[in-house]
Amino acid sequence: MTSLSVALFTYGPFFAAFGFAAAWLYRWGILRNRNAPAVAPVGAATETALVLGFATLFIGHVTTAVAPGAMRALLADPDRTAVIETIGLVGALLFAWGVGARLRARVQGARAGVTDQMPAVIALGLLFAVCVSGVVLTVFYRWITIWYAYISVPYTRSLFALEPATEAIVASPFLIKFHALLFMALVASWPMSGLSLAELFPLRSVAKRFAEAGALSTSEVDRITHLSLLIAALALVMGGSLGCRVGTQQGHAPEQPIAFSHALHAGLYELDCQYCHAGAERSRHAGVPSSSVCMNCHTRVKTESPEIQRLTQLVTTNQPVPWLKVHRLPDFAFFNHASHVSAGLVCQKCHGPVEKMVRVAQQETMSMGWCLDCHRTLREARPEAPLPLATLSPSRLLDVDKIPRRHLSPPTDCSACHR
Amino acid sequence: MPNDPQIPPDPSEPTTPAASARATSAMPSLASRHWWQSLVELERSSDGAAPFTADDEFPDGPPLVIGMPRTGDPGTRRDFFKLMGLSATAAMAACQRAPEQNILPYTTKPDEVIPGVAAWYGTACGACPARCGLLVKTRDGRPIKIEGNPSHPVSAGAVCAVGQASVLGLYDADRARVPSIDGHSVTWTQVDARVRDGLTKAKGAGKAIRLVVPWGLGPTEQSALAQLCSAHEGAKQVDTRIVRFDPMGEREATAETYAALYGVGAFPETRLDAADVIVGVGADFLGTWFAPAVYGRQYAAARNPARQPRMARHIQLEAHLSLTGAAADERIILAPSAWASAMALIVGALAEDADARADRESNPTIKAAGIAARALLKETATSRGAVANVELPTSALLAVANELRVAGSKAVLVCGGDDRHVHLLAALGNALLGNQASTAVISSTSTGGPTQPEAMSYAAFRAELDAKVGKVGKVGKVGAVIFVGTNPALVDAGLAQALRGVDMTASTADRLDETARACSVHAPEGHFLEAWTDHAPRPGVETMGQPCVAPLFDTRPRLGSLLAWAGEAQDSFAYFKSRWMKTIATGASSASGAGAEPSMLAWDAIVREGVLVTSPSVVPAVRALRSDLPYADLAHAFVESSAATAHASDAFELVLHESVALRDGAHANNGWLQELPDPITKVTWGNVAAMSPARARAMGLADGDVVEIKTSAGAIRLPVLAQPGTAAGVVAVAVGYGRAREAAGRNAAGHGVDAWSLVARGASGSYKFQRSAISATVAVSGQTSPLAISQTHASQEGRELARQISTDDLRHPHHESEEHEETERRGRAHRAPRSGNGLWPTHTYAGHRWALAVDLNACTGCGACVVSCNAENNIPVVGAEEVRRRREMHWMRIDRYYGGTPEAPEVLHQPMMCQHCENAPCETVCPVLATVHSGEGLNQQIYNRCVGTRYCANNCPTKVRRFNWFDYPHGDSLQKMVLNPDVVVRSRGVMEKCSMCVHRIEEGRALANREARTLVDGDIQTACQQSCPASAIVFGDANDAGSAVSRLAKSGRAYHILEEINVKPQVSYLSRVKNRGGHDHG
Repeated sequence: MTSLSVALFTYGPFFAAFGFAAAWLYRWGILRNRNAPAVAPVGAATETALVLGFATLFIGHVTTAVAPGAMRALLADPDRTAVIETIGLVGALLFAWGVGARLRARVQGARAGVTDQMPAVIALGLLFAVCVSGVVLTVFYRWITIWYAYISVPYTRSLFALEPATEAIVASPFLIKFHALLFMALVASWPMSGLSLAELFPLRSVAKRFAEAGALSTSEVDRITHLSLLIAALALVMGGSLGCRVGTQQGHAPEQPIAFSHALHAGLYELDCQYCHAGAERSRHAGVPSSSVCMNCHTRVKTESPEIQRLTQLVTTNQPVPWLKVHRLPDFAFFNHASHVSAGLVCQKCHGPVEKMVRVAQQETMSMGWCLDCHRTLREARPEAPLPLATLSPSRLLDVDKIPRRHLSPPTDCSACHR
Repeated sequence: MPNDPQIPPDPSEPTTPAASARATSAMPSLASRHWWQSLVELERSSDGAAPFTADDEFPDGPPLVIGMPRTGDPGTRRDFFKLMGLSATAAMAACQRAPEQNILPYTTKPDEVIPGVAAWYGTACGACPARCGLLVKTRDGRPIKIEGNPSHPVSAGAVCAVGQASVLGLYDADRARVPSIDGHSVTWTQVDARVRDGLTKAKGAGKAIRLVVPWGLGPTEQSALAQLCSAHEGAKQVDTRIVRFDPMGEREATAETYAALYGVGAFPETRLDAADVIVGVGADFLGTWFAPAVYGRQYAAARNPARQPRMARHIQLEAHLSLTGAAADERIILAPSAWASAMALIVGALAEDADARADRESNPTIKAAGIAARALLKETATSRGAVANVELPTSALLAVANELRVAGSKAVLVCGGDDRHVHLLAALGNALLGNQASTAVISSTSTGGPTQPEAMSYAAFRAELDAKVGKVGKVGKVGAVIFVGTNPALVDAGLAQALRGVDMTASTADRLDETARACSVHAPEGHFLEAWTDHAPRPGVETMGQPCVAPLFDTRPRLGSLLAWAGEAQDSFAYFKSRWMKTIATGASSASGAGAEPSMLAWDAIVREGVLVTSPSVVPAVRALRSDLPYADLAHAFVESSAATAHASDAFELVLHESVALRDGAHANNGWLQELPDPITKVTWGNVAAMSPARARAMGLADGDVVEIKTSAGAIRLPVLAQPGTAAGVVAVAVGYGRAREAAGRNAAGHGVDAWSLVARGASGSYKFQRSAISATVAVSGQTSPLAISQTHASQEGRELARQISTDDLRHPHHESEEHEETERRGRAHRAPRSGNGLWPTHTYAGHRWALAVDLNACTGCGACVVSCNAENNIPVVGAEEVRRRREMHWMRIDRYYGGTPEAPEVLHQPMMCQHCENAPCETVCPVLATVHSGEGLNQQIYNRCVGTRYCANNCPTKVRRFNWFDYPHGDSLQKMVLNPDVVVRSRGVMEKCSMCVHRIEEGRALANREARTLVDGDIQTACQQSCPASAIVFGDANDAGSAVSRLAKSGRAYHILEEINVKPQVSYLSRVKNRGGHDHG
């Protein structure tokens, strides 16, 4: 079930977006935007409710998505949150009233024999369901705006970065997921409904004004609306992907089979990195410690923890801990830990402040350009570094100032890493 | 004016109105239109039509109409959504994160293992009876590379191609995985019960027990064998004996000869490095004979032009062009049937003045040998008159005898083949030279294999199997036979039938081979890298073979099986160790005089070193010739068994020989070896019938035409190759190919033809097999079978790529030979453009500048470097069909060139790898900068940048760049364990080539950095350099004037190839030196 959720929330939004784009291109390009035939109008009061409700919901949702920091600051006070949620609830009710009226008009039109109403009815029904589920959420889940700001918005933003982070949204209550999925279905099906956007959204009144002036036809208003939506979406995607370079694993922080915390071990208890990653000084691979190294302490320390018990279980059955790789270079790049450690590089230079990470994440891009930047700069600067301490006799180690130093000259040839 | 365009049409041409109209319409006036691009356009413009239409651009229409509004075409929407969905899915897939990978650490890490750091184990090779000392590289528990053990006193770091490739055999998917009885998988307990029961029953029934073993068993295995024999030595004189089997018969013949002459079944220890004159008699000692890697190293030392007092001279007497013959200064080409006569001539000449030389050198052995030789030649002359009618190159042979006589104890005769007559004469020849203390050492402690209890010959064993005793002739004399790591049924096709009369048969072969299939019990012994083994290559030296990996399958080393069947309670390691502790104690006491108990430290030291040397000095007391030689008996025994000779003039003498790669066929399933080009024929994946070019021409045969070779034993069909240097009446075929899939494995089957089926029985049907001088007929079949040859172009096109000079040139620099003068003249012309007139900026090398030097004089062309390169660099095996398409992937090849006449050619081998040119033609044409120059002189190939245009390969003057046409199989989960994790596995569509082992350079540099020292010459060795038995390849820093490679590059023999095109290779070659002889001698 969880994997289904993960798949839905990983791929669903993109399929919805592609569906929207495809259906829109099809309607606009092939069907020449043949709209669903018109039905009876809903009345001026309902139109006003629709405009007011749409404006409230749009502003609330979009502001939080664009400026989550500001919204979180605003929501920090329970009183303010109560006010905001009340306004939102009123807006949702107004919008639901307006959408409901339109839906009713379409259904009645269809009964009266107006053709091609079914797609429009489905789309409006979906929109109504989105609305109602939102109202239910607001009523039955306390502080739903905070849920939105802290769970849905990061997820939405990760979508625009093309790297969906689904952990939180998947773990959310069913109704929240339902609300989001309904919205995706709505987006995907809207262009096929034959409903003019101008007919529904506040732009209607603007379009009406232009149409009355004879400047634009309704379908042209539609086209402009759609185009501006598409451009906005593209801009969001591009903006979202600015921070991340395609192909790098920056920020990758897989959940490990045992919830080991570097912040605790390396940070609080100040264990040396090489106590566990003993290969770093001698081998290409820093290496993940064998489980027996963990058991040096954990035969006695913290044995009541379920995580440690899981580890002990693996050790007693002689099973390896299936750790997940965080930093993964491509197979054609050969990196040598020992060379870098013996040149005096600190681990944090490439791995970031691991001693502060509860779960380790890849800090840097680990791209070739990133490696070469450092190699080229150091090759120019020819900095000095102390000789590897392992090569020195104990007596020479006593006087730190007198440890001999050597120039570093990191290679920039391709074959230094590609063999 | 003949050039006038207004000239009237030739009256002979028809000037019909139609023709002239066509001419006018096809030639529009220059004013209306000047240029035209196609005849269609020209025609159209003359018709007044629009010159172009949109249809001209896409004559077939766009491949797919996407979303174009076409009335009445309802199909477009579906296509549109299909494409949309497809592109959406593709985009989704591309947006994924790289798949998660696990890191699986040890639960408890062994102390000596550091992931990512190689562990090296000293051990003993088991690929052939030579058992050279090895260093095996293991990464994370997997053996991935075999190299020579430099501290081994005998092999001294040399390993042959077969030894190098044997690591692939460890991961052979066709090895047996479980023991079996009658084809059903069983447990080891059941195997042991069955074998012990069989042995006990045989003992009870008073029947003989036979243990068929190979040559070159280790001391511990021999001691276990002895224990097995004594355990089943019955009260009723039950005969339990060891039978030694030698597929090629060379060891057997040698041992029999020396047993007759010296009273001990020993091999002389050949020391080529001490010899001034080496005469090979049918012995391919650089390719297949006894211990080719060891002899390769000794030979290179002897043949060094700088050697004092002189470079050794090498004369080879042989029937077909072997690797050894290719290296010789002089070849005497004789069919095997004439070898005995030729040797008789030489020995006769040596015996003439034996007494005088014996007095001069006060060596009684020479005198005794003289008496023996004269008596024997007298005997054989009477018993074997037929030999005399062969036409012999008498003067050449007498010249050889003279050279031998002059060199005296510094000369050596190296005898191969299975003709006992020739062996007897060669052994006498060595005795006549008085070289028992120098070059063909026979010492008081020489041994030749299992001696206790008395071993019997395979011929006697087979006769025994055939002999029926009992009331109705149905009961065999033999009750139990165990084959220990040997496969006689491959050679002896009748063995399976003969074994049916034996109650209990067992084999320890590593797979269900021909013999194991004929046995009821199969107790697979696994691979030598999984077992404790040992070997005594010469008195005073014992090699220890430690396992480098736990058995991959449910197999048991043969030592374990022997001990289990002997009823030994100790497990095999405890047994092995206790025997070794005794040896160590003996060695220590002989060295120090005190009989101290050896410590564990001593054991550890030997396990680490891989070898125990108790007496490093060479010659203990020399063994004397038997004083009571029974000349008449000897003549009878050895001459009778000799090659049959009477041939019709159109008949052929068939010579069966081992190939350098597959040897007797034991390694037939090894893809590296199957794809290793034969050093001479350059044929891969199969064997050929090698005939002299003249004879092939006379029969109208071209390379690849299939012939039928028929002998008394059978007939085979295989393609012919006109091989320069083959004796006129000889057809030579390599054995070991064409084994059945179920017996050898998937790579062995379907490649080549099984030539063992032509092996001839000895005189009067005895089982003394005859592998050469077999009378055969060769018939044209009319079929052809294309050969998978890796070198089809054997000409240097006059460009002096591989060069040869003679000792005269070295000795008298002013009196240069003609060929050298020519070389010099060309050289001067070539060197002219070297001074900076290049198109590209010159490179400056601030730090290192890596370079190779290849000594063509040391190189024998054996192919060890090629296999070593394969193993080191994860080079795929492409298969016969791809080799036929010239798509072999070897980064390094050995080019073979012939000189002189096709009847008696000279041969030059030239290892050819990427030359790392300074002005590299490949670098300038790569459109994606996938091949660029490094700051240390290397031409780098960056696989992940390469898009596979192959421009670089087209522009490479040495054609060393290889293109991955396919994803060659690395997928076999067993076989991919041999891959070197330090080198990337290239994918399809990528160009690759020699990197000068850049991963070793980087590894060496990283180590030096870590240890805070600078790199010194010799820290880094390339794979080819390490493995070369002849030390012909030297790698180093050309910027370091003191490095070996710089010194070699400055030597008088050094040159670069293709100097005339100014590519400036980093690889220097050193000319081959031919020893013309005759200057310092006589």
